[in-house]
Amino acid sequence: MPNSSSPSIVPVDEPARTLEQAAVAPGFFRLRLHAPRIAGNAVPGQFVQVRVTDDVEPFLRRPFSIGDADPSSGSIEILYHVVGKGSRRLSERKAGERILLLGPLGNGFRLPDSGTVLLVGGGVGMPPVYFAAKSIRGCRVCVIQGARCAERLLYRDELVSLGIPHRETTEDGSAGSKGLVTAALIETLSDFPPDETKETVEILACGPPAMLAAVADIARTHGVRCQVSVEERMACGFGICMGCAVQKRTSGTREYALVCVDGPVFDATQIALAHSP
Amino acid sequence: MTGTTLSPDLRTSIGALDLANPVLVASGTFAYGREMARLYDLSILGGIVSKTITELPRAGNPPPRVCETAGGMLNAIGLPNPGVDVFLREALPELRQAGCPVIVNIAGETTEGYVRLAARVAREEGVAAVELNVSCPNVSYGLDFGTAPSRVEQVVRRVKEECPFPVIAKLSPNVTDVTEIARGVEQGGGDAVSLINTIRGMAIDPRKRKPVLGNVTGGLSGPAVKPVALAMVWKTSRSVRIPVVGIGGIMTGTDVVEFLLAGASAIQIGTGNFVDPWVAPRVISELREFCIQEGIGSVRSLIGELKA
Repeated sequence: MPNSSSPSIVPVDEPARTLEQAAVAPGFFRLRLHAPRIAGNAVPGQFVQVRVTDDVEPFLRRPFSIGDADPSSGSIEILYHVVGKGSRRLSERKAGERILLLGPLGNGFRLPDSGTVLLVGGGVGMPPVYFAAKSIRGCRVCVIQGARCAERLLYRDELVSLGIPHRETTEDGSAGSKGLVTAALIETLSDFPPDETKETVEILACGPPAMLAAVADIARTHGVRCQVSVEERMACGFGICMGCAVQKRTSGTREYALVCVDGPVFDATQIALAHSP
Repeated sequence: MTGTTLSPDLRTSIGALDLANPVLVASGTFAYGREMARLYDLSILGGIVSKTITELPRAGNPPPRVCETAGGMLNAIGLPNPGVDVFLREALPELRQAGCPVIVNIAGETTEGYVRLAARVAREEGVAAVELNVSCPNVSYGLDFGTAPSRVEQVVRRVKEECPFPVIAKLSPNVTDVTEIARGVEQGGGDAVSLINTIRGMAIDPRKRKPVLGNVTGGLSGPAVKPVALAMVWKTSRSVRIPVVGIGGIMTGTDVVEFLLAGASAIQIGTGNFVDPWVAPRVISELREFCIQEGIGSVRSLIGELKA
């Protein structure tokens, strides 16, 4: 699959210095790290494997999408939701501490250089969507963002301050239109003349599995190209454990791709997206 | 003890297979070396054990295939591999370039399957040994061979007839007495046993009331299993005359020393590769450092020297 990252980039295990750890919403943290070797090579959609502690507990690294990377200052950031042991321990790390980051890993989004790009982000799937939105050049860009409630609209303020057009939806109606991000996507697509969408519009999406499945369906219905960034439980993150399998959309034989080295960004037509979590 | 400890001799052997040092990397935790060759010079390793090869391609198990547990992880990968034809054509030539001994791990569905695989591998240049996976807990037939001493003995004997190089049998801890299985390997003419493969385990999501792994059960690995592995290596090394290769939760140079003392002639690092891709080179230098500090001239002098 064509993608924007270069497979010739060898991942490094960088002892990154924590610059800032900030709560951006209850249970959501933004961690900025000084990791110049990773920052210099990272592209939107790629991820890092974070060694949360130097201890054997939690044992495995945790994969996080890169939310931003600035080669000039050598910093990267991740934005994460505390959902378990690993993310909780990570949220306790303080500025000045060193954290091992393996990266950049995986294939990023193939960023279009013309036409219209609809970036769809659901919940904590926003970081790669934000990174892509601010990296795209030469395109008309619209971010369509959905979350459970207003305070979970991650990167909303950054999108506003960068002047990136965006629409927002919340499940409880506390901001934007009430409902799911997919309804807003359908509305947005309906604004295009039908014969125009196929040629000039492309969707890039990251979010929960059910959202990605719905977005892929919508893209298919409208005849629009669509790239999705998916997640799966992962051990190594660089292709040796073969743990992070995602089923390919094949006729007949069952085949799997690996999220870490074949993805995490896939053409939505290539993989089977599950409707249930 | 010896006076010349500045450059301790790390050489060891698994039967007729000489190794530059006792640190190998375990099957299923290093793929076929391609990804790792980008990270460091593989020639420094004692050896590489390939991911398991089967006669026909296998897709592997449905996800989720891995999950973390206390001090380790569960996996139910299901032996995905391209099959022996593609392996020999595409992966082995690259693996041979590693510059260290290459051990090909094979799994058959029947005794004849093992024999056919061994015969194919035996015709290839640059294979140092085969390791028989008679202990995968995650495929339907995986434990059939490795849990009955007579079946292991028969498979080993038949495979051995095909192979000009050492035959190692990788044993399961999911048995009543691992030493009986090891004796089966020895009686079949096997050159060594490696142990332990993963311990069968499972994880449950209490809210969904579902198993976490797609395969329901999986195999436990990582530092959590090290005490089990040490005990099994120790018991086994006292029960058979053939060499034992120790596997289970090794992450540091002192972990290696512990396995050597328990009776292992060499060790394999498995799950540690996932957490720290550079774990093997680090462990080798830590082992060297330990020998220097403790005045140990040769790692061979540690093997089986547990005071118990």
